[in-house]
Parts: sequence; structure tokens; C-alpha cells
Amino acid sequence: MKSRKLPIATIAKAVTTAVLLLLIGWIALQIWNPWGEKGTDAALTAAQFENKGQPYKSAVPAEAGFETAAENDKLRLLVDRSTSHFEIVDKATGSIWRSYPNPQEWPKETATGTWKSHLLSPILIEYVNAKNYKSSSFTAGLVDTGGYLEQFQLKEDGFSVTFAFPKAQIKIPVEVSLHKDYVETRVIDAGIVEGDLSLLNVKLYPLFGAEPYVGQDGYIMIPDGSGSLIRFGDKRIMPQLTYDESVYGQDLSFYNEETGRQRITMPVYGLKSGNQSFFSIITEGEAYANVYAAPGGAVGRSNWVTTEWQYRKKFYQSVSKNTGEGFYTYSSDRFVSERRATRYYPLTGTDSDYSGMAAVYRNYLTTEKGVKPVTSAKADIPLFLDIVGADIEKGLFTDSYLKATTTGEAESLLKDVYDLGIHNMQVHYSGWQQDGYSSQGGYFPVDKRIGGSSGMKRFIDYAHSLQIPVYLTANYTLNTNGDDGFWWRRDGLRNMAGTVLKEQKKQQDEQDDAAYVSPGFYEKVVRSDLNSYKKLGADGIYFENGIGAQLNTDFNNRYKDSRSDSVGIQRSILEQTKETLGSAAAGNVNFYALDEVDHVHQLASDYSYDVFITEPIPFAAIVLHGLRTYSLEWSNVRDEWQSQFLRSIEYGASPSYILSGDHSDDMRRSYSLWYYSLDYKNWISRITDEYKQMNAVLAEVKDRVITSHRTIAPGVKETEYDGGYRVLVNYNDQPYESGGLVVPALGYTVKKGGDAR
Amino acid sequence: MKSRTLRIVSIGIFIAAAISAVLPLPRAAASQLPYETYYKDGFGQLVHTQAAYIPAGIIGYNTAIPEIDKAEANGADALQLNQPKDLYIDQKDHVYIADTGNNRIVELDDKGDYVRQIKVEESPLKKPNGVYVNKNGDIYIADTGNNRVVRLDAAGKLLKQFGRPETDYIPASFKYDPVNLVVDKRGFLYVTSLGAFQGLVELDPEGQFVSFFGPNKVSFSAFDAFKRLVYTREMYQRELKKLPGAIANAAIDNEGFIYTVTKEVASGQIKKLNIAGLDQLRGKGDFASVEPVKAYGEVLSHRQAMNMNPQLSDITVDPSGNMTVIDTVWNIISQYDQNGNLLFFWGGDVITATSKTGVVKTPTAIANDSKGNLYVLDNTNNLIQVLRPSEFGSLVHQANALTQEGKYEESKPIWEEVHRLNTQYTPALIGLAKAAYKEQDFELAAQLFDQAGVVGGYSDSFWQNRLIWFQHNFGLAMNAALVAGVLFLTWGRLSRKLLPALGKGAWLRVDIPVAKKLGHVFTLIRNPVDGFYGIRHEQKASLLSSLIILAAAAAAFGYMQAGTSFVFNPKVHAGVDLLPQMVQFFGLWIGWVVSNYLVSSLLRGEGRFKDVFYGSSYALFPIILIGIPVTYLSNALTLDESAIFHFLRFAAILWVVLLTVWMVQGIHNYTFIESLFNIVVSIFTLLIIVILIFLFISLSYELVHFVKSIYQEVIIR
Repeated sequence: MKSRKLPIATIAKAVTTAVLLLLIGWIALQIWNPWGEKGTDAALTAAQFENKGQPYKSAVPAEAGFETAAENDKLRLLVDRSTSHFEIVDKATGSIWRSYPNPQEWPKETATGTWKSHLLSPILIEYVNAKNYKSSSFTAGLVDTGGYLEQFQLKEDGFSVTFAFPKAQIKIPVEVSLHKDYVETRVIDAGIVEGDLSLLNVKLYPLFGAEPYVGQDGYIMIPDGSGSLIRFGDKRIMPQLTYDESVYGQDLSFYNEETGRQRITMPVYGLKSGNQSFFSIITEGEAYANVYAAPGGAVGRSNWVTTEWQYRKKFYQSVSKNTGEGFYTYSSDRFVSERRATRYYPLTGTDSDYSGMAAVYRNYLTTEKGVKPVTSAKADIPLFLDIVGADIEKGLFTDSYLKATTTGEAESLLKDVYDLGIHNMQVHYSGWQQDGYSSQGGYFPVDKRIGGSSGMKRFIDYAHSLQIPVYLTANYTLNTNGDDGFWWRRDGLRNMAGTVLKEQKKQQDEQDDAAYVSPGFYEKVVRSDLNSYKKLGADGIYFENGIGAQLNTDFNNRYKDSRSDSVGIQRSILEQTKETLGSAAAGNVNFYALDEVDHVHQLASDYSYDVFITEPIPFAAIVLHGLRTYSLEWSNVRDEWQSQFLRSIEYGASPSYILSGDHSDDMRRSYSLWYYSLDYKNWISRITDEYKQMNAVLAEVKDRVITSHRTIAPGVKETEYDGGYRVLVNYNDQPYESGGLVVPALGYTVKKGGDAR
Repeated sequence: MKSRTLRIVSIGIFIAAAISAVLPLPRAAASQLPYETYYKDGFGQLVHTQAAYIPAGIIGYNTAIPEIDKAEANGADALQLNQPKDLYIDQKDHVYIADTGNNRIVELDDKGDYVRQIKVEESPLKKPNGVYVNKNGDIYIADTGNNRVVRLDAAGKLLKQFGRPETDYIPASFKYDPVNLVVDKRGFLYVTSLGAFQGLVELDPEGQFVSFFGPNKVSFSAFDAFKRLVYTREMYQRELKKLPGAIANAAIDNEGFIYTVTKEVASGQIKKLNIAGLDQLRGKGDFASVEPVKAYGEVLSHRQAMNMNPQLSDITVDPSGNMTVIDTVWNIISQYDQNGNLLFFWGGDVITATSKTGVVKTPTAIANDSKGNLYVLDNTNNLIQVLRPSEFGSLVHQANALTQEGKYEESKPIWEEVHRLNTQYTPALIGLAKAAYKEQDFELAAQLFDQAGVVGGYSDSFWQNRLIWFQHNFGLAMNAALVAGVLFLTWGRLSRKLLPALGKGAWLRVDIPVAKKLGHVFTLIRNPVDGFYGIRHEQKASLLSSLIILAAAAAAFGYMQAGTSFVFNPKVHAGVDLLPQMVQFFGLWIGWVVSNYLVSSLLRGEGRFKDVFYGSSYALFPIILIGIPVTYLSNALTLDESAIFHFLRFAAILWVVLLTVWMVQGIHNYTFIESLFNIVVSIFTLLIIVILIFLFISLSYELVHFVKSIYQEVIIR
């Protein structure tokens, strides 16, 4: 202890000073940023707007100014050079679809000021000064920005033009072309010119096919939930509201306005007015599109619906972890999509209703997207059973395990249902992974407490002996435990602000946050797990709440995946799964993955209850029937038994249940499996009853397409299958009678070519 | 080296920022309805249930006005409400709306179609806030802008006006602003006056003042008592909050009970008053023993922010006595049965971007029709949302009505169906338990009551079970006691004969030092002050022995928390988390030891730190000695014997307190008074230590985040 004392105080002082100086220097460097990007070539951009064309005039294009741009045996495309508005003429009927408001009704337009000229503009953009995070965005048309047309050119199958907005210093080139039975509009991203202001979104020919309500029958069809109609009318509730939702759901890497709406799974929309309608499919770049609908009275008198191409989205840049302080801003880079295309299919007569639109979409999916009908040799309709293995609850120090169904119990469950005479079944086993349903990451081996891998193998073998396929339920897009070599800092999904996304929990006392996994990372994990599934003998994977359903941009530098990259990754995962195991299924799948899944589980069966929506329609079901099997909400999780049972019949869906082999009272404490009542012994009589009724109705038409669906009276719906097989459903508490046709109260009737059953 | 530190710092800050990013995710909801329905039991445990009500449409918005009525409606061809305040549904299910902003009452029929508007041309209405329709069709209107209540006949002709009653019983400062009213069978009016804390103004049919009806009581806390003591008279009087809550709205049912809702109170928001003005809900609920003072108006805990209690603005009562209330703060509708037991509550997140069918933005009034549909008036969107009972909701209503009528057997199959649909729904368990009790299946009743967490029912069933057990086993128990007695006597004799040399209790004596030191406890029982003196001066205790006692006391404490019968400690139902309790126990104990040592070393106490440590451990032994047996015993007791249980528990606590006093006295060699003083100062010191720790932590926390925010700002902007 006699050694010389170190001058600790001096050293500490020196170190602190040095650290502080370095810190200050570094911060100063960050602010000055001498190596940063040089100022944008603003002058150069400005110069592009000097040779101004003729300023765009706010007027309805004159009929006489239209010339034929392209023509085929069915349709003719006419264009007006001065406005670049176009018309489609159906040669057989002479019906016209215009890209601008109906000229006869235009004098009565109620919109005033800039919006009135916006409605006449062939293109509407929204832009913002992103440099000033306090500035708000502007919506602009060609008129109010002093815009003009540039490089208008007729081409072989249509025309191309560039819209210039000098005030916003933005130029957008577009193309319109005629094809066999549709007209396609495209935005050419590569040719977009931007100055200092940032382009947010583009609506191209927003008023295409728009019609005001003048007493005719008509509606806007939007892909909300199962499909929804906004019927035309002049007594609409809260007429100012509009619909604007992102195709394929929200991108969690950006700010999303809370709307409480369901995810759009199909990039389609339509509008019917009187005897004619159009149906749109966003065929390319749809991951960067919104569907925007303005029912009559919201924005002008017309009812209109259009594609809103997204170029930038707002995101939240937080600066404090605790107070959550921060500000909203935009990225400097645009979303780039090689192609952005919307098709407009003009429809007339009996094909112009939503069943006709669904038929167009079905045809598109089978001919262009390679969705081949999946048929089964079995005569009965399938019953889908989700068996719950286990979950976890909050424990003293660590989470504790709540067993629901061991593989042995699952065997007896299956046997009991099979013995009731239900032979066409498909099982999805969930919560089989290590530590149960709410544990994400490191799925294998199957948890010992429910039987382990050997138990699962035995169960699957047993199911196979009854010819029942078994799918294992998995998510893969979340990670709670860091298994699979997942390190959230390295492999987590990062948002635009660079922070790793976590799943938000509703209640404080719930499970620790789960991190979102980068698509690039989960692709690797699924690949490496596939063999383990194969070893168990699983027939497929049922992807729940993630793959095929959730699309986020990943700003993790290690992976860097855009929304369309994620589509590719998810499709390749499904493809690999199908290749290795034979099949894959997904919950309420986005239609980009439809060709890779054999069954759509938990298909949306309701709408989002926006006040402007007049009725939900089974659009997705009409498209899917005969192509894929699908099931709606689990029967034992229904809010109302009878009305939702009737809905399953109306939609032609297969019955499905979520069950446990054990008393499940304690599951209410679990993190995720809160379902009201899981014990299969409580449900077994209902299962037989429901299955027998549904099988009697639907077995005969299980592989046929739905040709038409309509409302024949309030609360009475009719679904017609190929071959004239009609199913009528009555949701009212009064029987429905009309011309010898009787549908019992809260019941259904089947009619085959005239004779009621 | 330094740059690396820098980098690490920056990475660290970056990570901290990363952790913060928790973004909302649309979760897979049970139903696609725009709201979720829950049940919450007396322990605050939430349970998801199927929707009890389902959106059934919107009325009162753009309703077409028939051609013949257009003149009356000033030529408008569609109904447009303007900030409507009240809603009443008469026996024909016609809807009356107090369309406040348009100075009129609007009547719609049972389908929501326009019938007429009432403006009372002979004496125009001005901002009417409330409307009530009597059985004979007379319409009563709280005509707020004119400070009066008017009574019209069914045709809308003015019959009588009720201005401010002229009486000496009403103070001059009282402002008569009628906003709502109900009328009883006798034709007496109960007028809600805005902000009147005196209660409802009760008027006889002639408009004479009868009394103030159903006033709320002032809440008076210990803190208020302190204020009264310290404050000057002027200061105290300035505390406006000391007025009782003012009744916000009232309703009346077929039996003549008057229901009131009060804002700005934390509990007892709903009152069900009989004709004498007495509350019929107090202590009636199934969970009365868990929450003696019940708060109405449910909140989802995850949304609850500080000091944002629900504010109930209206109540409606259906024919079977179920009460439904709306809350304007959280936008939640809660439904209770006639005894104030929660049935359901539901509410959607408030979404500004759009409006949903079934979700009200600003609920101001609620009413129900004869079919059980609920009508909720939306003051922002100027419309009425109609909700119809779902299958599940109807089943629950049906079963609960039977249970309330005492028809338990009839209710049983319906409750069974409810239970099958939702095994987690507690009212079904309670209904089934009551049915089982009625059928004298006490085993099942006890089990179900236990599962549901109902103390009273469980205790009663347990009492019955215990009686049956005694009846069955009385003979056996007697025989066993007899045999035991005989054996004891013979053993006594034999042992005296066979082991004369060893003497009494000698065979118990052990020579292990720790055991000896543990045995010192018995000295403490007999002579506590000397015993503690012995710890200080005669090495009667060691570190090991005191640690053993401390650990045992902690274990006993834990056992008392978790092992006490459900009857006396209903908390066990929801599961007791021992960790925080243990932290508290040890934290308090260590804090005491430290502060007592510090204080006594200043106040010439003789004890060293280890003596205080040993002594404080030994002072805890009553927790082991009494706590464990009492806790064990509690499992054989019912509520009837609660006095025994509470007495024993109190005895244990008192003993610990006394021992602590003696410990201070014995170890520091104080007089009794000195030791009391010492204890008071020690507790004060403990408080200061806690406050300092708290300050230190919160300040350093703030500092760290201040630096982090600055860093982030600089980097990002």
C-alpha cells in the first residue's frame, strides 16, 4: 500500500474535458456536414419549366375535340389533344365512359373554387415542402398550378402525355392504352421530374366513370372487408366522408391514420351507374397504391373512385424515448415502382353488377396470375379445425405454460369428430411450438409438454390414417425470445426513422413486446425450418397474421426491403413451403399470394362499419368459390351464432372451429388465446349440426363458381352457382315469401332449377 | 480509445431510441364490429365477451319529412338535428328528441320516420334540454332557455308552465336551470337543475315545491379533516370541491324507482332511489365484499389515464331493471343489472378520421324501446345510433332476469348455454352457482362461487358443506377424540414410569448452538425486555439465528398473503403476486433497521448495528407463531366467524409492535418513553430516506433523458 498514488482526479478531469470536446466537435461536424449531398440542382429543374406550353383551361372538353386514338373489335379509345381527357366507347352498345365529369350534369356541379377545377383536371397531385417539417401538403390540379401538357403523342394503341406543374416544379409522364377488353393507364416513374417540392401522391384520371346521383341505381364497389357497396343517394349520412385506404394494408414503417378499417386484400374497385359500370384492377405497383372513393356530395356531386398512387408517406421522427416527443416528416426518396398500372374494364348490361366485376377479376386471376382451381376428390365440403396446443401466461418471474391440447388429446378430439360422420377435415395445429402460441421464434422442436415431436408425429400419422391433412400454424414475422439466432438490433424490422418496430400491447400487464422480424431474416428461418416440418409429416404450414397478410417496408440496412420486395419474399416462402411440404394456407390472404396458397382461412366476412357504406357484399367469396376453399370467422368465436351461420351459407364458406381438447377456462389468462369457449366437448353437437346443414347445401356446388349474388329483399340474399343452383338466405326474424318462394325466418332455402327444397 | 467510447455512447443512445419505437398494430379482433365488448369482475379482471349489442342502424339523420309536414318544418325536406341533448322513448316506441339547437322537440315513430315537431307556438321553446312523455301522452319539456318546465297534452297544446317554485325552502342563490325531468305515477315532477348539488327539485302536479330529492353526500377524507384544522375559515370555504356532486340526469322505471347519475364523483355514480330517497344499490352487488364502494362506468384499464374518471351523462332502465349508462369521457356504454352488477360494457376507440355505424362520437343521451333496442344520441354528428341486443346479450338478459326473480331452476339451462358460449363469463358462473345452492348441491355451489370469486356465496356454501361434514363425521370425530384422550393419559403415566431419570422435557434439550439461540425466542415471550437486553449484552442471538428467523418470518408473511382463505382475502382469487409484497416487506424492514440504528447512535443508544439487526429479526417471530396457524385455520372458517380471524391477526400485529418497542428499550437501554420517542424519530428518518432516494432516482432519470433528447434533436434536425 505504499506505492505512489495515482493522480486520479487529474486524469478524470482530462478525460472528461477530452470527451466533451470530442462530443462538441462531432456534433458540430454533424450539423455542418461538409461531405453531405450538394444542394439539388434546383436551377436545372426550374429551367425545365421555362418553355411553357398552353396553360390548361378549366372547362369540360368539347365533344368535337375527341379523335380516335386506338380501336379494336370491341372498344374504341378517343382522346382530346387539348386536355388529354379520353373516352371509351363500347362499339356494341354505344355506351361511353369518360375520364371527366358527365358533361350534361356538370352545370349543376355544387363544388366551388379550386375543387371545381380539380374535378376537371386529368390528374391530381399532392405535394409538400419536405424541408420544412411544419408545412402542410397541397392538393393541386393542372389549373391552379398553371399546368400544361407536354409531349402529347398518339401511339399505336393509345397515347402518352406529360403533365407539367410549374408551380410545384413537378412533371409526370403517363400513358393510356387500349387492350382487348380494357383500357390501361400508367404512370412512368422513371420520367418524373421533381424540384424542391416533394410529390406525395398522384390520382390519375380521378373522375373516370364518375357519375352524380340523378335517381339512377348505382354504387361504388370498394374492397373493404369482404367487399362493400356505397350506394348512390341524396340522403346519405355524413356525406362529407371519403374512403382512402392502402392496398394490402398499412405499412407500419410509416405513419398510419387510425381508421379502424379492415385490410384491403384485393387491389380492385368499381363503379356502377344505371346500366353500365367499370371495374378496375390495379395490376402493377399496387403495393404503392391506395383506393380512394368519394361518394356523391363528399368532393363534388359526382360519385367517384380512383387509384391514389403513393410516392411518399409521412413518418414520425421521435427525439425522446420517454416523452414520445418528435415531429412528422417525409423521406427525401420516392417510392419507386418500375411500373404502375390501373386497368379499367368497361362493363354493360347484366354483367355490370358486382358479380360481373368478380367474374372479370376471377378471369384475370386464372388467366394472368396463374391461379389454378384447387379441387378435391371428396364429395363433402371440408371442415377446418384449428387445434390449440398451448399458450403462456404472466408468471411470477417468467411466463408460465398453459396447456390446452396435448397431441394425445388431439387424437381423441379428431376421432370423436370423425366418428360423427365428418370425414373431410383439415386440421391446423397452433401453439405447438416451444412455449406455446404467444412465443415467437425458435419453433422447433414441438413442446414436450404437449407431446413433443414424437407425439406430434404420432398425431399426424393418426390423422393421415383417416386421410386428414394436418397443417402446423406459424407466424414467423414476430420474435419474442431471440431464438433462431435473431438479434433484434441486427435482424429487426426498422421503420423509416430507423427504430425497430415492436408489436404494441393493449394492456400493460401483457407479454413483453415482440419485435417485428425483417423479411430477409424470416425468409432464412422458414427455409431452415422446412425440413423439420417435413420430418413431422406435416402437410403444410398455415401462415397466420404475417406472411401473406402483412406488408411493411424494411429500413434495416442489412436487408432493405421495399413493399414489393416483401411481396416477392413472401411469395417465395409460400412457394418453397408448397414445394417441400405440398401445401400452404394463409389467413385472409392478400391476393398477391393467392396462387401459392391452397386455402384461405379467416376470410373477412364483414365490413368496417363506416357510416357511408350501405352494405357488405361477398365479393371475395364470389371470386374465390371454385378456385380455393375458404372459411370465415371460427364458428365458436362468432358474435351471433345464427346470423353468422347464415352468412357462411350465403358466402359459400366452409365451416371452421377453434378447439382445445381440455377445459380451457384458464386460457383467459393467456396472452393471446382469449377465445370465449374452446373445449371441444362443449361444441361437438353444434359441429355435427352445423356441418350437416352446410354440407347439404354446399356439397353439390363446392367446386362450382358463383355466377351471381343479389339482394332480393331487405335482409334476403340470393347466391346463384353455375348451373342455376340458388341458395337463399333470410336474415330477418320474419319469413320471406314471394311467388311461391318461402325462406324461413333466420333460415335458408335451396332452389335447383325451379324446385324448392 | 476515446472515439470508441463515443461510438459506444452514440450506439447506446441510438438503441435507447430504438427501444422506444412501439407502434400500433391492428390486432386480429374477435369480431369485425367497430367496438369490443367486455365484462370485468369485482377484481378488475377483464374478460372478452361476444357482443351484447349489434349496430342496427342510424335514425334521425336526413329523415325525409313528408310533403304535408313541410310547412311546419319551414320547408325543409329532410330532418337535420342541431346539437340535440335528450332522447325519450314512449310506450308506443315513438322517439322524442330534444333538438336543443333548433328550439324544438322532434317526434319519430318506431321505424324512425318523421312524425312531427313541437315548438309550442303560443309560448316558443328556447333551447329545450330535456323531454319526458307521460303514460297518458302528456309531454313534459325542460325548457332550459326559458328557465321553466312546460307540460303539453298529447296534441302539443300547452297545459301548464312550471317556473321557479316560490318557496322559502329554496335558497336565493339557487339557480333554477331545468335540464331534464322525470314524472312519477302521481304526477310529481323531479326536475334536474343544472349544477344543483341539492338534488332533484321535486314538485307536486300543481308546481308547488315538495323537497330536494336524492342529494349526494359530500365526501370527506382525512386530508380534508387536516385542511379544516389548518386552514382559515375563508380558505376552507374557498374549496369549492367540497360540494356534493350534482345530479346530471335521471330516469324512472315502471315500479317508480328513480335513477340518478352524478358526474364528478369517483364512486356511487349511479343511485337507484326509492320514494323515500334511499339508495337501493348499496351493498347489493355480488362483489360487495371486494368493492364495498362501487364505482360505476367502466373503463378499459389500458386506456385509463391519470385523473380521467368516467363521467356518466345519462341512464336508461329497461323493463327488467337493467341499467345502461353512457360515459362521455371514454365513450363507453356500460350495462348493469337491477342490483348494480355489471353485465357488459363496450366502446370503440374514438376515431377522428371517419364515423362508424354503432359508434357514437359524443354520447349525450340514451334510451331503450320495448324490444330492448338501445338508442344513443350523438351530439356531434347529430344523429341517433340504434343498437339491438345480440343473441348472446338476449340470453344473458333472460337468464339474469330469472335469477333476480329467484327462479333459479328455470335460469339454469339458459345460464348453461351462456356458459357454453363463453366459459369465461363470470355472471354465468354466479347464476349457475346460485342455482346449485338452491338445489342444495353445496359442493358444486362452493366450487362455482369460488371460481367466480363471490365471497358471500362461497362462505354460505362452505358453511353448509362444513355442517354436513360435521354431521357425517361427528361420531368418528368423537371416537377419535376419545381414543386420543385415553392414549394421552396412558402415555403420561407410562412416560413418567419409564423415563423418570430424564426429567420433564429434558429429551428435547439439544446442544446445537443455533438451536439454542433460536430457543431464545421463548425467553422473549416470557420476558421481552430482558430478552432483548440479553441479545445486546449476552450474545443470545447470532447472525445465523436472526437470518433464520427473518427468513421464516418473511416466508410466514408470504404464506399469510397467499394462503389465507379466499373468504378473508378475496385477492387470492385473482392470484397474488408475492414479489412486490416481499420487496416491500424487506425494504421496510431494512429501512427500519438502518434508520433506527442511525437515530439511536445519535440519541446515546447502546445498541450496535448488529444488535438492531438481530433484535429487529427476533421481533418478527409472532408473524411465524400466530400468522401460520391463523392462516391455516382461516381455511375452515366462514364469514360468520370472521371476528375470530380478525382478532387473531390483530393480536399478531399488536405483539410485533409491542416487541419492537421493547426491543428498542432493551437493546439501547432506554426507558419506555425514550424508546417510544426513538421509534417516532426513526420512522421520520425512514420517511426522509425514502423521499431522498425517490428524488435522486427521478432527478437522474430526468437528466439522462434530457441529454438524450438534446442529442437526438441535434442529430436529426
